[in-house]
This record gives sequence, C-alpha cells and structure tokens, in this order.
Amino acid sequence: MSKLRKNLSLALIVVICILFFIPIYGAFTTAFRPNTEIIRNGFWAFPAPPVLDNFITVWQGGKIQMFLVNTVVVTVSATIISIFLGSLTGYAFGKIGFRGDKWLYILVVAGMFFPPQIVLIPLFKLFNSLNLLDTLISLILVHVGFGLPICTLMMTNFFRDIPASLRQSAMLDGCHDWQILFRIMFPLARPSLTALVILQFTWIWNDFLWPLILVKSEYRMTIQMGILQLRGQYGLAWGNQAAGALMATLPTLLLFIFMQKHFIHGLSMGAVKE
Amino acid sequence: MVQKNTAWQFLLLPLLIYLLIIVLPFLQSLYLGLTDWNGLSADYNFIGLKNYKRVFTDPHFSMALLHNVVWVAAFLLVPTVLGLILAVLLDKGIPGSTFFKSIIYLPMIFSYVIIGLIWNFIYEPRLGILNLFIRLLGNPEWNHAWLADAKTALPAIIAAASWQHTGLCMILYLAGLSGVRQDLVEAAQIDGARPNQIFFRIVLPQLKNSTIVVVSLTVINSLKSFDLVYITTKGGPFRSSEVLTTLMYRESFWNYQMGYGSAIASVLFFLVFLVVFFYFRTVMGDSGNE
Repeated sequence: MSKLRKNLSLALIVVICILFFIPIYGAFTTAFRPNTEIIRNGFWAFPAPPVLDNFITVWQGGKIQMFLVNTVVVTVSATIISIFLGSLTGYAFGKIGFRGDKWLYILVVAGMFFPPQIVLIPLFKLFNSLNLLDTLISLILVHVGFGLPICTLMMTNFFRDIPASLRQSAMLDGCHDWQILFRIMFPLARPSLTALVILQFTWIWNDFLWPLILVKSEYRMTIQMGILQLRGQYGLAWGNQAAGALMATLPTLLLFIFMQKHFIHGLSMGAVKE
Repeated sequence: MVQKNTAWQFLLLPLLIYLLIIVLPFLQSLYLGLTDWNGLSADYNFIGLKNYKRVFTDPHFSMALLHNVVWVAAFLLVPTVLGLILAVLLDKGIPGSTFFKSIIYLPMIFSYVIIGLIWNFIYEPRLGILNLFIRLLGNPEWNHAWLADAKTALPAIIAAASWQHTGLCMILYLAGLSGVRQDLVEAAQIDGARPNQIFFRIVLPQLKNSTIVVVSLTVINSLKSFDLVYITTKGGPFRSSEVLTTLMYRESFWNYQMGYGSAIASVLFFLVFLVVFFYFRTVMGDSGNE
C-alpha cells in the first residue's frame, strides 16, 4: 500500500515536472536550431544537431552588448547600494533600537508589497523635473528605493539574532557603532548578504516596468526592453529570438544553478519571517 | 551607562531615499488623483472626487477589475493548490526531489519578457505545441490564436503566470511543512489514522500561517501583475485581457489622463493595502509560531 502510494507520488511528480519543463525545452532547443529548419519542421521536431548561428547573428547585430552593459551597470550598482543601505537600517532597527522603531520598521518593510503603479506618475514627473529621465541613474535610484524594504527586513532579522552582548563588549573595548557594523557584523552577515545579493540581482535584472516608464532612447535600454525590441526586429526568426532570450537569462540562470540554496532560503525568509 | 542613541546616523540616508522614491511620490499620487492633470501641462485643477466618480462608472474599469478578480481566483486555485501538493509530495524523501524542486523553481528566475517569449512557443497558432497537440488529437477546429483571441487571451496569460507562481507557493509551503510537529503525525500513525486523515486533520491545520502568507502574496501578486499582460497582449484584443495596472498605464501614458490614472492607481493601492494589513496581522501577530 505504502509502496504503491510512493510510486504514484513519484509518477505524479514526474508528469508535473515534464509539463513544467516543456515551455523551457521548446525555447531552449529553438535557440540552437537554424531558422530554415524551424520553419520547415516546427519548434517541436526532433532536435537537429545544435548550431550557434542564432547567437552569432544576435551578437553581430551589435545591440545586445549595449543592453547588457546598461543592465549590468544598473543591476550591480542598485544591488550593492540597496543592500548597503538596508544593512544600515537593519542595524538601527535590529541592534540599536529607539522609541517607536517598531512603527517605522513596519512602514519601511510594508513597502515590499507596494504596487509600483501608484508611484509611476509622480516618479516620472520627479525625474522629468530633475532632468534625469532617460538616464541609468533614475533606474538605479528607483531600484534602491524599492529594494530597501526587503533588504531592511532581512538585515533586521539577521541583527536581531546576533546576541546583544557582542555589541556591548565591543563598545566596552571602545568601538563605536560604525566600527562594530563594518568590522564585526558584516563578516558574520555573509549568509544573509549572499541571499540578498541573489534576490536583488535577479529582480533588478529582470525588471521591465521602470525602464519602460523612465527610458526612451535605445542606447539607454536595459536587456528586458532590448529583448522585446529584438523580438520585433527578428519577427519570425524564432531561433534568433530564443537565442537572445537565453543570452539575457544567462546571468540569473547561472546564479540560480550555483546558488539555488541561497535563493530559496532568501525567498522563504523574506516572506515568512516577521 | 548613558549613551547617545546613534540610530539616526544609520537611518538618515536610507530613509531619505525611501521618502524620495516611495513615500512622497505616494502622497503626491493620492493628490494627483484629485486633479485633472494631463501629464504635459504645467498647471492643473483640483477637481475633488470627480476622478473617483468616473472610476466607479467607467465600464472599462469594472471590466479590468473583473479580470483581476478572475486572475485572483485562478491564482488561488491553480498555483497555490499545486504548490501545496508538490510541497507535500516532495517533502518526504522521494528520490531526486532536489532535481524536481529545481524544475518547479526554475520559472521564478525568468523575467516576464522571457516568459512571454517562452510561452509563445506554446501558443503560437501555426507552430505552437498547444495547437500541434490539438491537431494530433484530431480536433483541428479547436485550434486558436490563443493570445490574439478575445475569448482565450486572459486565460492564456494567467496560465503562463501560474506556471511562474507555483514555485513560490511551493517554497513557502515547504518552509511551513518543516515546522509541522512530527510527534503529532507519528502519534496519529500509531493510532492507525489514514494518510488522508493525517494530512487534513493534523498537517493542514498546522499550515494555517503558511496558507495565509501564500494566499496574501498570491492575491497581491495577482493585483500587481502588469508586465506579462503588457508584453503579450497590452490588455487586448478589445481589452479582453485588460487588468487594473494596464488600464492605469493606458489612461496615463497613452491617453494622457494622469489625474484619472492616479485615481485608478489609488484604488489599486487600497486593494493591496487591505491584503497587506491582514498579512501583517498574521505574520507579526503570533510570532510564536515561526
């Protein structure tokens, strides 16, 4: 009975996983097939020997490099800045504490769920009046602002779990809070920081909404807009579309493959814990 | 030991940015919702609640809201339940469970642009696998241009979104399952309870908090969804897949009715706020459970 149950569970899982994988498989294999062959045999024919033509075409199109560089600039800076600032607030909320800190904390962390649509227009207006529309700086600022809640949440949780005696004894040794944060706390915070880097990197890399609102010129576009643009450009050249998509996903895909544990840990901590 | 409180030194810069990017724009948006600003002109008029009156009589708004409700319902049915089932199945040491989990998680790391592109390989009318499969079954008349047909566009988008959302539900349920008390489960087994009884009477009640978290996040994500709709159909054809976010975008950035767009965004915010309120009450209320 129990054996039968186990086999049934396994069969069910295998079926669900195959269904889940089908869309990825289709896009992935198409990236490695010549367009003429796709038109002739469809997406789902038995895979022919893989070729790299599609990647070469997209790369030689010369635009994807520009999109990738913009995205790297925005993603790396916004990831670092938001996590750094989140560590500061986290330290203030989790280790120093002050009157009314609970309410301020909730106000900041609630921003995690904030629908970006409500600030779309005012931020468009703000950056317009600051002459920052169509710049990467505007994107970085927005991602720092929207990243602050999750970074604050995770870092506050981390600092709360650090025994208060650690700070007190460091203070008796004459350290002030900034030294304690940089010399003692940051090295201990590696796991939380790693999880945050992965989450923030993935979210910011994948963002589409903000460049849509704040960026107009092609040379300022990030990769997600760029891919949409290439999709239009390559029309029915499915192979090129899929190759571009794979190139755009490669950084987050690699992060996921090598750091999956941290990614999952971050997501469950971020949502479940207080 | 009297110390000067140094917290403000740490909070100053982050809170300034938070104020600049989130709080002040939010307040401004609430205000703009009471004006007739067109997004271009320097001056605009305060018109009171006129935009809100329009919101609640605009058939496009009620249509978009209905689509959001459909989205929420579908999201609560499909990815949430599927995530729970998968979590329960994969929680017990089934061989290869790490591998299976990775497959379910994988869609989470794709952007919506990529998801739109990936699902085109499913929905494309001539070459897509869905129509291919239907033709294989011998019912070519059931073929659709799934994303271009007003009847199927919204369900097609929701299916793709569910595919992505399942992983998150599974993660949250797996985290919940790790907190389920094994002694109660074992005691029930000794008393001869059937697996179904154990699940529904002992495990599921202990997943109450996880469920509240999953349901809140699912509802919030459904209400906030924009990218995938914009990328696949832009709310069409004939507004058949219009949701609140795309309506807000259309009114603000295509029709230059930023006052009205702000009012729609404010309604959206209020809906999300209600859910967040319950979420926080649960997560922060009895922290003894975590």
